[in-house]
Amino acid sequence: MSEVKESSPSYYFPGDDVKLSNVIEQGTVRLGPGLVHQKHDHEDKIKVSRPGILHQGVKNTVLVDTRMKRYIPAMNDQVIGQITSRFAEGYRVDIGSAHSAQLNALAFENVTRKSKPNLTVGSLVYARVSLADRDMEPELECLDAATGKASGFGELKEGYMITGLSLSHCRKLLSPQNALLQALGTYVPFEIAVGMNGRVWTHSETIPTTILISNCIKQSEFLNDDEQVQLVKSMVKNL
Amino acid sequence: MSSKLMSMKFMQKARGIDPRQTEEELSKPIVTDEHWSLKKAPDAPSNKSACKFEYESSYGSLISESEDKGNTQETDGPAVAGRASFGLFNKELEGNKKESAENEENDEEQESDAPYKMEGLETTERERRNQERLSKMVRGKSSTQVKPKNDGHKKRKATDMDRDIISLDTEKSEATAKPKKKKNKSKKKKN
Repeated sequence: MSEVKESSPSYYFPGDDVKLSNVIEQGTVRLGPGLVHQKHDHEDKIKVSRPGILHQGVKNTVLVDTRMKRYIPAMNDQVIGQITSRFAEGYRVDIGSAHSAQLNALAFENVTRKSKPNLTVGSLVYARVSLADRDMEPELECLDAATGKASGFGELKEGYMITGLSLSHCRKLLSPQNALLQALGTYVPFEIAVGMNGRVWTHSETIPTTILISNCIKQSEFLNDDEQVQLVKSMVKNL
Repeated sequence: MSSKLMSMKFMQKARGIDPRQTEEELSKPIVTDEHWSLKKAPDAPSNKSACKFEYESSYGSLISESEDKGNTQETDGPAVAGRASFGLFNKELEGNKKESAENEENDEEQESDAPYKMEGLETTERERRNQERLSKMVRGKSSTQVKPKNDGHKKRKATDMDRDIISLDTEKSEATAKPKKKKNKSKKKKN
């Protein structure tokens, strides 16, 4: 995550208090996932509800980065889904959550009723969660929120999808200067799509290189930057 | 007469009683000895907090915000994080990169101190793409020296050997095409 300040990463357990002095007190404090605000004896307390490392981000944002494997849909998440069925108005997509998501057939760029993209059952899409509620089925869109353009969303053709990754690992892969991906990119040309639901799609020229990329990603979760680069070099050497 | 009839407005007006006044008296709060209140103590802590707390339930919104404010100049490619392409695999995704930046990256990678044979593989893949460009240019234009700097002249002799050993899936057409082009370049160097 690009907003990480790793001066002294501290691990918090559920029930721990976050000291307000650590957090900048200027008006509104934004609590990200994993934090709850409680009033105790007329004192403001921020309690941790999920175990993880505390991060401070832009705009007085505080959040806890938990190592979870279960995906719970949230707004504006970029996810990789697999189409399980199609009906008149759109598609039913499996994103790894408790409920299947719905993708409207018209939620693509430059689409009219007559020129809808024709996605087959079993194909992969990179989409953004536009509606996420615990009581309703999540809804997806293949459009950017602000611009309304595709900008990377859409069908993912060919390639291979890696599943079973932890959500925190995927969030690390999202940062533009990720050491593992940059190192892989110097040796092997490939393209990649990282989903926040614990899935990563990758495509490269040959099957051995695709396997190399997926193995590197799976094995690099607990390694730091230098070790990741070493892993890439050793795997590329054995190719 | 019934009490309901007596309480109607026209009956009260006939008696000389103003119905509005009676309503006001009834609605006024009755303060008797039973009614009590706390004396205002200014030292007592109030329930209002010093700062407001908002909840943000998704990591996605936080990541997109940090991109907008942080590294807009450094990120290349599409606005969406999570979709990336390396080594010109997907030209649409990498189309936003400037060519000068790409050449700089190529130079940096060539100068790196990795002693592995894999470096030969890296240059060959770029060479392969450059030679695809060249094959179109050689027939047309005479000056092919304009092509980008990533021709490792020093490494070219070694790369051929290394490439044959390491990568088992090189296409035979490439192997045959390469020596032809090499001869052209060596002749131009001599000239």
